[in-house]
Amino acid sequence: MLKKSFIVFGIIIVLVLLAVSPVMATGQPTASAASGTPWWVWPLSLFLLTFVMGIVAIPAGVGGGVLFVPIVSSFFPFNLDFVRGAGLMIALSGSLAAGPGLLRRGLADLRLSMPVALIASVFSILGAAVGLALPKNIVQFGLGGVILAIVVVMIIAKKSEYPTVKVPDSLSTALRISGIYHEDSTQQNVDWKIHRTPVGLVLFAFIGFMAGMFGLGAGWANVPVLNLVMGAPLKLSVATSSFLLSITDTSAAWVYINKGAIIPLIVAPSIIGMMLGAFVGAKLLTKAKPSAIRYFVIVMLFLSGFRAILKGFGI
Amino acid sequence: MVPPTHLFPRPPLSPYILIPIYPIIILVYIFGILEPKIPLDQVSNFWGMKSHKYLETTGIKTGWTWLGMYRHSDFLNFFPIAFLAATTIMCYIAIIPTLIKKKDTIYAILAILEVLILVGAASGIIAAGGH
Repeated sequence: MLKKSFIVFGIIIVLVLLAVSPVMATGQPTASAASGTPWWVWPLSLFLLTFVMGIVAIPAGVGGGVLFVPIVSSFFPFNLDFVRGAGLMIALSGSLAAGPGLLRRGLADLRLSMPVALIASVFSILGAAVGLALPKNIVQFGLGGVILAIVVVMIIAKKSEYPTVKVPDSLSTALRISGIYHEDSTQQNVDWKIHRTPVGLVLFAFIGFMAGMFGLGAGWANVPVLNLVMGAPLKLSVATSSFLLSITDTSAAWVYINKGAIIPLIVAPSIIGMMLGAFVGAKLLTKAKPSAIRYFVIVMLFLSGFRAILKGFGI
Repeated sequence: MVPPTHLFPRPPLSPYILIPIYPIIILVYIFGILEPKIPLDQVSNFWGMKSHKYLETTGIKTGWTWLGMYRHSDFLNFFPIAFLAATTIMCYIAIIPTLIKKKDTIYAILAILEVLILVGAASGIIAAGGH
């Protein structure tokens, strides 16, 4: 079953990438008119690709934006500005769909989210403004570096189900960031508190900047910082990260909208494809083995990151 | 006392209401029911450009000008996009009165600051520089 689904995912990805092969062959994105490819091939390919991304994103434990930006900017003829704008809208739609439900169930915590979100959203606006102002090759190079760093984080980062926090720091105590959530799997209430809040806030400034600059979403970085640095339980970290994305990405998304970095013909098939794919992915989660899909995604991200660096050098 | 985690509004603020609306707008766009500002077969001439070059070439203005271009099907797509981007702001505004009522002063201030930042970004006041 696992092998079969893995092969199917691989075939679909290869077919979609072959469909956009004029770009791959030349190594440089070209407009459809110049390459002779009918215009509708690109939105259709984008829909198919994002559908597959939506399927693999949930079992792989990554957000849609992280997959979308490097892969689409590598293999489609769209300028990185529009790809980042669409990437943010994808990340935003996913997090908004999940966020309120996670809050109501008490898995995401508002007291933990709000101070962190404030810092991250300010810096994501800065990141978005800087990203749109910088030359394309520099952003490509930076994107490649960040994607390769994400690959490293995905491979080496450990997770801690219930990190030990002996003494909460004074800032988290003053802000009363602590709580209890109900763990369904063990039917127990879990008491939690956090530490190293100032360090966490500094790291979230950096994460916000990266999210805005590259349009990536930031779940890949939110969860390790909340869980490993600040000591929040893993499930709470994952849920709070999803809610945080809705705030960080909102601020950056408005910069992209206001600066004209949104093309509906790119955004529309991407959001619809990703949402339909995520629906299928959630169903497949019980059948497919997440670790195999995760390795597949890591390989795809590595190739995209490497290609983005090459493009940054003009190769 | 109601924990703050339970304060966020339920739908209709949820993006789920876009699920039936957005595909209709896309169909209006794709089937040319309303004329787009940029014809579908011409979009590919612009999507490889930097965003500022795209704006210059097409004569599209930045900011909220899309609001007045609702008769064009491509700009009609900006309405659900803007709704998505406005949802968080609406949710934050909704929790401020409750935080004030609960005398949770620090978090009320944090929420007000967040709204100001997000509204600043949405209005284009913040990050107005550069291209």
